[in-house]
Parts: sequence; C-alpha cells; structure tokens
Amino acid sequence: MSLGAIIVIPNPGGKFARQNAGGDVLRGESLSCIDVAGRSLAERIIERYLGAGIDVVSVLIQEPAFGDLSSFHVTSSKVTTAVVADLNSAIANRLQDYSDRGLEHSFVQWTDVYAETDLLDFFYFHRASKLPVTWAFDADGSLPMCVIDCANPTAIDFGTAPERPTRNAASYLIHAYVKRFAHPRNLREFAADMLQGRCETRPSGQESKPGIWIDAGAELHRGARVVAPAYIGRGSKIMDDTLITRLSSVEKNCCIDCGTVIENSSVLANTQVGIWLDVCHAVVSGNRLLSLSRDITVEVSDPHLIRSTAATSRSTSEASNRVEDYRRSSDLRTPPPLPEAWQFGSNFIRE
Amino acid sequence: MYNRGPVIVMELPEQLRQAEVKTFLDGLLPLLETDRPRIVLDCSRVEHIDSAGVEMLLHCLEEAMKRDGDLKLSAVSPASAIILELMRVDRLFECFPTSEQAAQSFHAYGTGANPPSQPWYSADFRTADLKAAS
Repeated sequence: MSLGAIIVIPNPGGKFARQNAGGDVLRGESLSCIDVAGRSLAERIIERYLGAGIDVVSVLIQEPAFGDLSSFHVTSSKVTTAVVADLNSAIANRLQDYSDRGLEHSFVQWTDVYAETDLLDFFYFHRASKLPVTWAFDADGSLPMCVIDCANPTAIDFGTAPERPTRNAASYLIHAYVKRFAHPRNLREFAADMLQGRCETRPSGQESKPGIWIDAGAELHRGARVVAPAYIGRGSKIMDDTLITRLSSVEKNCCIDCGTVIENSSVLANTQVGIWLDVCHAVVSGNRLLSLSRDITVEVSDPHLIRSTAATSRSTSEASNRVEDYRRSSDLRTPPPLPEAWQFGSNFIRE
Repeated sequence: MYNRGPVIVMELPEQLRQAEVKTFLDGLLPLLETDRPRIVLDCSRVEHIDSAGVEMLLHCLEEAMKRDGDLKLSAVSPASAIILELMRVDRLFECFPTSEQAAQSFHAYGTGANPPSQPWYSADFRTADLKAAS
C-alpha cells in the first residue's frame, strides 16, 4: 500500500477566509503560515502526514502567496514544495505523477483546516467505499480534505468541491479534534486548545513546569511571572515585572517589556510590546493589535507601545521575491540550524 | 469649542500625537486653571492617538482634579478605546457616548439649592442653622 498527500496552502483569501476587519492584523499573510505555539499550522499538518507513514507529500502554495515561506522547517526528503497559479491543474498533475509512480491513492488537504483524524482509517474507509473520492466532514459541515484515487481523479473542481461535493463521492465523518481557520481569532483559539491539551499537538519547546512551555533561547527575567498554561517562543525575552497569564502565547523573537501584562492573548512572532501595557484578549502582530472583544484591528503608530522587531518590514515585493525563490527551487530550502544543546533550558532565568 | 454653563466641551483633533498635543494643551490649560473645572473632551474626531496624547489626557485630568474638578471623555471610538485600555488608563476616565450625556453627568449628582456651608463630616455641620433656629 502506497499513499501520497497533497497539501494546499491557500492564499489569504482562501477557502474559508471571510472579509473581516480583524484579518488586517496579519497584513495579508496566510493563517496557515503563522506560528502558533512554535510551529505553523502547515508544518503541523505536514508532520501529521509524515507521522502516519505517507510516502510522498507535495505542498502546493497557491498564488499570490504573501506568507513567510521561509518559516517551513520540514526537512524530510519526502516533502516537495511548489508555488502554483492554477490549483486544479497542479493537483491533477500531482495525482498523475503519483499514479505514474505507482501510488494508488492520495490525500488532498487545504491548510484552512486542522483535523486530528486517523488518516489510515480515513483511507480504509475510502477504499471500502469503492468511489473515486471521499470527502471529510464533521459536525459543523464539509471539510476541505479528501482521499482520491490517483488513477481516476475524475473532473473535480477543487475550488468548489468541498462546499458542493460531487454526487459520485463518499463522505467520511471525523469525530476527532477539528479546527477551521478563517480569522486570526482561530489562531488564538488553536493556541488555547493546545495549551489546555484539547488536541494531540503540543506547543514546541520544553515544558519547564506543568503547563508552561519554554522554547529554546527564550529568556525570562527572574521577576517575570508566567502563569500556566502559557507558551514562550524561541528567542523571546520576557522582562522584569511582566505577567504572562491565561492561555497566552508569546511567539518567537518577541520582547515583552517591563511591567506589561499579557492576558488571554497571542503575541505573534517578531513583536515588541512596550512597558506597562495591558494586552488583554487580543492578537498582536508587529504594530497591529486585533482586539478580539471588539473585533477590530488597530495599527499603533507609536513605537513605544507595540512595534515589529524585524529589521525591515515585510512588503509585497519582498514576499514576491520569496515566491520567486521558491519557484526556482524544486527542493526544500536548507533547514535553519538546530539550536545548540546549551540553548535548551540553560538560560531561562537571566538577570 | 463651546461652553454650556459650567461645563466646557472641547473637541479633540483628529491626530492626538506629540506634534498636536502642545497646540491643543495651550488652549485647554487656561480652562483647567479655573475653580472646579468641568471639562468634557469630545473624541469623536480622533483617529490616531499615541502615548503623548494619552499623557496629555492624564495631565489634564490631574490638573482638573487638583482644582476639585473633573474631566470626562465622550464619543470615544473603539480604536481609541483600545489604546486607552492598552495603556491601562481607561479606568481613570468616565466615558459617555455623547457630549450631551457627558455634560449632563456633571449635574446628575448636583447639590441642593442651599448647600451646607460645612462638610458633613465637620464637627460644625449645620450647627449654625441650629443656632439660628434657637
């Protein structure tokens, strides 16, 4: 038995994306490329497929892609990545390629959804149905996830199929954890679910105390207070008198300055939060703050409050350059260097 | 700016940042230096506010309270409210949907026509009235 998988990373106006003021906080980045508790949704999905023993995984990034594509750290030789304009033909080509290589079936999944279903059980269900395609659904409706016969892909329009499943298709009910991603608030909910153990996937890093995950290179001042469950990302600095509490996650390379409270909030990567602030029930990214209680995004022009720690702001041209880089390279990029052993846990507390 | 009896309603500018704060403060400070100033700052036009703007609001509130007055905000936009919450100063201000409501709130707990000359906790409270009656 040989199985393949096609993972589709949609553009920000993806399958479930809705026009919402709250979406501005990410500056058009795809939700599935944003780190949540240390790793992006796309990475977690790919790892699930590799963990299930899938032989080949193709990642298709739908244009226009403005995400931080360099964030993928998947190093398996089983994974290939490509940026595509025409999704239907790209999927059809991949299925044909799989069929030529002797793979009989393939999963196709969009990263708009994260589902912790038993993939092999899904596949066995599809094989028993003897239909060319089996779409997944859960209690809330259809999901952009299917198993398909590589040799018989049929004429499925992958742009609309999950919403209007074809007649000649089976349906597979998922009872396990499912999370749809249509709004930045879903990132917050996903982080909270992870920290509370509602799903199988866990935050990155080490659990230094019950419920407190600290990633490599994070620095916590002795006077900082972290109340479980919480996550502090790689290379982040938590200064004196700060309070990180109520399911909050601080992603990589952030700095939370003195006296600030982060409560029930997600501070996304490369963000600096100034002194004596109160970030509550929000998603912060760079100089933008999405208030989840009001469902509006505020762009803060005062760098003393919140700002990006990135050396240069991301722009559309830079993102386009990254897409071009990906287009030119057929293989995965060189993975970033792994942290040294001394970086794990040795400098959690630093004056 | 318009005056409604003892309550002064003043519109804040669209941009309440370092550059605009001084100009606005120059116009507001003389009003704050009166006895028991009652100020309502209408935030309906405010589009951007930064830490300098919030600091100015706090300074005005402090000046008003020094003189036994108060400063209230009206028509605070959600974006401005988020900045006030972020800087933990939202609890310090009374906020109202409209300037009219803010102005009326100064009279909601008004004293009687002839307020006692002594505070209620004073040992001489109403003794003068009692003496006159006897």
